[in-house]
Amino acid sequence: MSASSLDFAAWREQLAGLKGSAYWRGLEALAATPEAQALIEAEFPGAAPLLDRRHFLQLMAASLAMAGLVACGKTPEQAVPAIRQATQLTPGVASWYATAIPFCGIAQPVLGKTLAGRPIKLEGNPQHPMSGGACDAFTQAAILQLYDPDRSQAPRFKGRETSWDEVRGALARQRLTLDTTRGKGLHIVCGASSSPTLGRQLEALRRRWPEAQLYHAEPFAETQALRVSERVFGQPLNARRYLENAEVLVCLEDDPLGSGPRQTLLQRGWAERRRQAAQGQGAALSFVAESIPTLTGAAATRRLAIAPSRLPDLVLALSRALGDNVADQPRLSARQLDWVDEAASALKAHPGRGLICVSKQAAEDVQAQVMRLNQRLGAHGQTLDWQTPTLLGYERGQFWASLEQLSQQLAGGNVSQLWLLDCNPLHTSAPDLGLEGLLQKVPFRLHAGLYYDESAAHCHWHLPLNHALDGWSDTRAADGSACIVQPLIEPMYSTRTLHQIIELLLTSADSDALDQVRITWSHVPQSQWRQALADGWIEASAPAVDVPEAATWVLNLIDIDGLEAVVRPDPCVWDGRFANLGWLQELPKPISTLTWSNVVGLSPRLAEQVGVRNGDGVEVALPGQLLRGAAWIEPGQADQVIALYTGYGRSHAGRVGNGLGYAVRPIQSSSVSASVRSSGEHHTLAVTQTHHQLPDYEAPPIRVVQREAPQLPAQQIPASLYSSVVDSGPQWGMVIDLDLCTGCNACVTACQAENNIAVVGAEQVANGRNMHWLRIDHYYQGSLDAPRSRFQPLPCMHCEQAPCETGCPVNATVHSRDGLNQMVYNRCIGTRTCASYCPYKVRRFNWLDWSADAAPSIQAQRNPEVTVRARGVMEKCTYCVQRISAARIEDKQQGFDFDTTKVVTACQQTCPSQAIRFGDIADPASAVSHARKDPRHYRLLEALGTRPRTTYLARIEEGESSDEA
Amino acid sequence: MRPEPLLHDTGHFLPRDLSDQQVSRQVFGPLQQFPRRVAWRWLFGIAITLLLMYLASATVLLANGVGMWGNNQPVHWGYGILNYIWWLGIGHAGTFISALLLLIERPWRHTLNRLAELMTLMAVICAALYPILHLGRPWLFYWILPYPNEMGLWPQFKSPTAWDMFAILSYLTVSLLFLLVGAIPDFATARDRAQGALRQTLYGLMALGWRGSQQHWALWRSTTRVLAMLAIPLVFAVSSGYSFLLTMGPQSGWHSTLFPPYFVAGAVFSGFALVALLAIGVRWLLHIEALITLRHLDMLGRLLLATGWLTAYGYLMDLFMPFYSGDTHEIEVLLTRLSGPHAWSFWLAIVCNVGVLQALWWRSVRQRPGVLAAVALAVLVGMWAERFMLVIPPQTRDFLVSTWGGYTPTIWDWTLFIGSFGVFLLPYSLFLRYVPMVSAFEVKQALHQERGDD
Repeated sequence: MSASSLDFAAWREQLAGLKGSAYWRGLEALAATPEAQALIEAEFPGAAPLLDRRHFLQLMAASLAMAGLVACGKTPEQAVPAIRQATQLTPGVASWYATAIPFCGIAQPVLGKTLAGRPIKLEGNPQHPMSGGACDAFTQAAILQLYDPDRSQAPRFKGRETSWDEVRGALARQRLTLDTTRGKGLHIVCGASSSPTLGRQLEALRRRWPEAQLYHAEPFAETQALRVSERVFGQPLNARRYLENAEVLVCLEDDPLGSGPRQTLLQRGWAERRRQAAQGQGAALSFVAESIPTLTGAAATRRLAIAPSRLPDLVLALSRALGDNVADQPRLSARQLDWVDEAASALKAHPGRGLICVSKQAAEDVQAQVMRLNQRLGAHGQTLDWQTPTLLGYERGQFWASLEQLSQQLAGGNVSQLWLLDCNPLHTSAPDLGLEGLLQKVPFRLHAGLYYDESAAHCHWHLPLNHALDGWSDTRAADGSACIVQPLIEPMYSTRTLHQIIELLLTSADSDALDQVRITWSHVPQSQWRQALADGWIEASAPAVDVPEAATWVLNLIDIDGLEAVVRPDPCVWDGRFANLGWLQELPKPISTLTWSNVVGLSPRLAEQVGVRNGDGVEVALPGQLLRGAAWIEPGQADQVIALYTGYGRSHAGRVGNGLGYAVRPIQSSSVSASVRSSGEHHTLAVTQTHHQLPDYEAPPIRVVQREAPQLPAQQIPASLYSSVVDSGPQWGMVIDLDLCTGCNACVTACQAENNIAVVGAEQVANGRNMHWLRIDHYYQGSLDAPRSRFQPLPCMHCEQAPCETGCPVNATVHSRDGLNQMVYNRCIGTRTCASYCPYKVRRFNWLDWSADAAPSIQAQRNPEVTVRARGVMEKCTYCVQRISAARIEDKQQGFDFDTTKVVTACQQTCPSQAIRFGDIADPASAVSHARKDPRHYRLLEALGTRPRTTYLARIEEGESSDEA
Repeated sequence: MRPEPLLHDTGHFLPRDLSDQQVSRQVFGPLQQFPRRVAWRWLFGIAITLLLMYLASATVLLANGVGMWGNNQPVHWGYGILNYIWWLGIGHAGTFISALLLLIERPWRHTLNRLAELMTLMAVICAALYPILHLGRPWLFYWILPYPNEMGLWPQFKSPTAWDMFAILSYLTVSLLFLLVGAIPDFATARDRAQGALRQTLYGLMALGWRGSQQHWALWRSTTRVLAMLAIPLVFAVSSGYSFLLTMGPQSGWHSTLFPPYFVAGAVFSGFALVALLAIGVRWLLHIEALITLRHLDMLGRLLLATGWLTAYGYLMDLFMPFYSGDTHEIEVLLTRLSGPHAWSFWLAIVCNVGVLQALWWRSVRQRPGVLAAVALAVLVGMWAERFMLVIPPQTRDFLVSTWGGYTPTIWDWTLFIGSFGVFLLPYSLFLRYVPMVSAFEVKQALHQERGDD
């Protein structure tokens, strides 16, 4: 069956016209169209015209069979699975394909699982050194974006859907003009990309139209850091940090463990260091000075809350303490100087094993001086090395222009054609650039993107892009290695890849997406290419670049009196590009556990001054922006700082992401002076955890041991009249190492993706009805102004003496022989006795029907191996029982003994820190058994005698040091 | 002439000179000619409005799911369980009055037992509907029942939720039997006095062919005594049963051995309050002040006071135990009851059930129907607040601080609860018209015994 006879794309185009609730039920609905007739004729020759009874029945059978096709997708024929398997697609047997999801232009290498041709789950690519099998929450949620029904599905002209033929015609006319003017007036704005194919195409474009201008439009880009490195080392260079070697990590307003394109890599390194330190191999100290609480700050040995405007002073003091000869005097308090001294002496005590990280938005001189300090500390080659930038547009001396320059060009009327490629500058650029207004003068405006977003709405033409999972491309990972973006499914809608669109512009040819990528890698022979597709990458890590000795920089101290605003990407929806993904909207933001909105973060002291409490409306004025949002008190935030988060206040995100929170645009520096006042409104905020104090109980939920003596006293487990459930065969258990957990949420999203967990919306979250099977509890310890943060992932405990099982009147929750506390959805009648009796409150109830009215494409995303729960039944973590069964069945079929080490839960698999261990506790050799013998091992609420199977390893603290305000 | 019986004295309760005819006229008269028709119509109108409200709320609930209520995580049990416990508690007083006082031969019960038994029946029905509506999938409620099925599945007999189902069912059966059997002689009288074939047939069916022979009386007497003996332990079993619903879980604030007796006392207490209210209402509506006298009300007041103090002892112990245990979390839960966001429920319970109740020390209060009704109403409100205080606040303060939460009932919680009075009142208002509300033959018997004329 060739792709042309089964023209799904055309039907999709037809269906793309249907909006809102006009869902279609199957291909029967389309049977009247000529395409469907053609299909029926092709499949069943002679069936269509003669409708006697026999043929009618055949036709009915055919249409029913095709209705089933809705549930299936088609993997591109050229895709190469990662694991060798039978060439034929077997229903019910998963295929795995290696690919990569670019985020901010940086590849997140993944393996994609497809069932019946439908991609259903992404995992980190264990073969790729940048992933090691782990990935972050954004990457986990990429699968949902593939199926997002609000993705742009057809090209548009002035907001109305049109066809690609029209697009081709329009572009052909533009090409004639451009050829005559040598590209003068053509201005192309790009989101961050590291695609070698895009680089090749843009090169060709510039050769043909040398007058064309290129711009960067990525918010929170590393432009500043690259520019600084060019000044310091003579060429733009990208820092590669090796946190696994950094025994002393000093972070200045930088958040390497927080959300971002390098999160997985950095967190893996950080965890590796802590793991080694726990085994007595070196130290794992971190000193974090930051304005707003981040995951890195939460993990710090010593944290200092400080305004960003004091960053130059801090670097100055650090330079002096490290012996650099600088003249100026830092303006720091005694406590701040203490922190500097401690950090400096730790750095000096570990020569070559220290690393200083600084915000990439920080002032040039601050970043330059930090580069010098790192060099002085002997970090190069140990904890840090340099590579040529992986992102496009940062060649030495030829950086693509910035949006300010675009704004000037627009104001000067020099722009006749504006192309916005894979970016949304009208939502993410600084408002003082005035792009909205200036744009209107441009006679030809074109936008290409995943969504019909704010920028698309301001353009004449909008061209829908493929998602990374349904279109061919290539991209580079954080280490510079090149990955092939291999689609897992034929394009779902009438979309094109960016490469096809540029080719369309250059040649008017409707080129093949794969061909465009293959041309870039034409020097690679076919056998190697197939291997590359199977492996997920085609070119290994880029070599490190030697750098010359850096000089000492003069630091310009910043004077901001009063309050200053910091604008950060939202930890869950970034700059808004993930705003339409329910999983990420409902993902509790680390520390605050807020969902579905952004807030204006204020320190407790500042909130007191302004006179607001959580949820009260505030008005924040910063240069060029006036915004109204809900106040949120962030203990541990610097008192002079107002924390603002991007990604919200969107008007064209889609049905999920529109109209949430407030809009704030990124600013050009690390902070700007601002003011805040109460606006008298009140907002209902949806938080998943309302109380955060770590209770002063004898047995607190999170236990801490000292580095010098990492041991917990032995636990007294109440005796039981009943025998322990250990019977025969594997006994499943999980151990979570709290010393390695950063609270990054990757596991929560992985669990949601694997287990078809429903998204319930802000109102229901505010009602306390969120559905996450695995939640991350967060606690504060210490003072209100300088607390410590602690995280604890909490899945079902699978208690051996489970109170829930006693409570259920209908045997809907029972214990399995292998120690699982099982939930039988079919049998559940919803008395909720189990949840009332659960001391850990890990059970989740379907209060309403959360799943039935999901869009068809969202339904197609669901994991067919996990039941979608109906209204009125209880659900909870199953230890991914479907994975356990699949592994057992596979071994049984092949006649092996059950190899329990093969079973990996979704949360465990994705955790970048590898903080979660799962396996057979009856097997003394298993990793989980080893962990249970660790002196840091403890059971949560052990005094209740529930004998949980999920247990914890205590967090390790350094000495008696405390945090500083 | 026999010696004056010490215990069998009805003289204080009923007028000595009340004749059989007068009793019959008072009891059976309303079946033909209702004395206060306008008041009854109002009652019926209100009942039907409330019932419609109930039906509408239940429909919304069934159509959408329990998410219409304010329940959440961690408060998985909200008004569904709270109102179930409240209604079921009320039901206990009827059985207590009928069965226990019958066995210990308190003749003053004879004017009160019928209305109390009817109250029990309706309260148990109101209560029993709640756990079904509370289910996530109410249409499958019968899975709690032990019935043979091809799946070979049985209820989980360790679950207190399953015990509840058995308790309610047996209680409903026994109280219905007790009511019907106990009223056979009166239905026979009603049959004999009825005008019109339909009424004669219906009352005749209820009377089960009662002819008043010696054999009938002997059988009837032993049957009612046996049923009473069955019913008494059930009073304790059922209220202990639903206290197990709370105590069997590990939840601090619920997990207490005090709860079974505490709940029995509270149940009978709230039941007596409603009996007092109904007695005052029925007395006025049916114009039977001669049968339900001020002395009866006085007696109810005393019982109310006594059971109130039993309940108060429960409060005291419930306050004392967490501190005595020294368990941090138990104390935390207790303090939440006393001063948390739902502290109103605790203090309302104390004010109504302990404070207002003390007015009943004065005979003038007990014997003034309006004032007694006000106290009884306060006790009903107080007992509802107590159930709230017992069920809700502990759930908001679970073992892990991270799971602490709040609870706000929605409009549907309230409409269903207020509507449930319609479920109670509508049949009850019909009983007023069609059922002899006082056990006439027992009253007559007591009068005869009192007067010594055999």
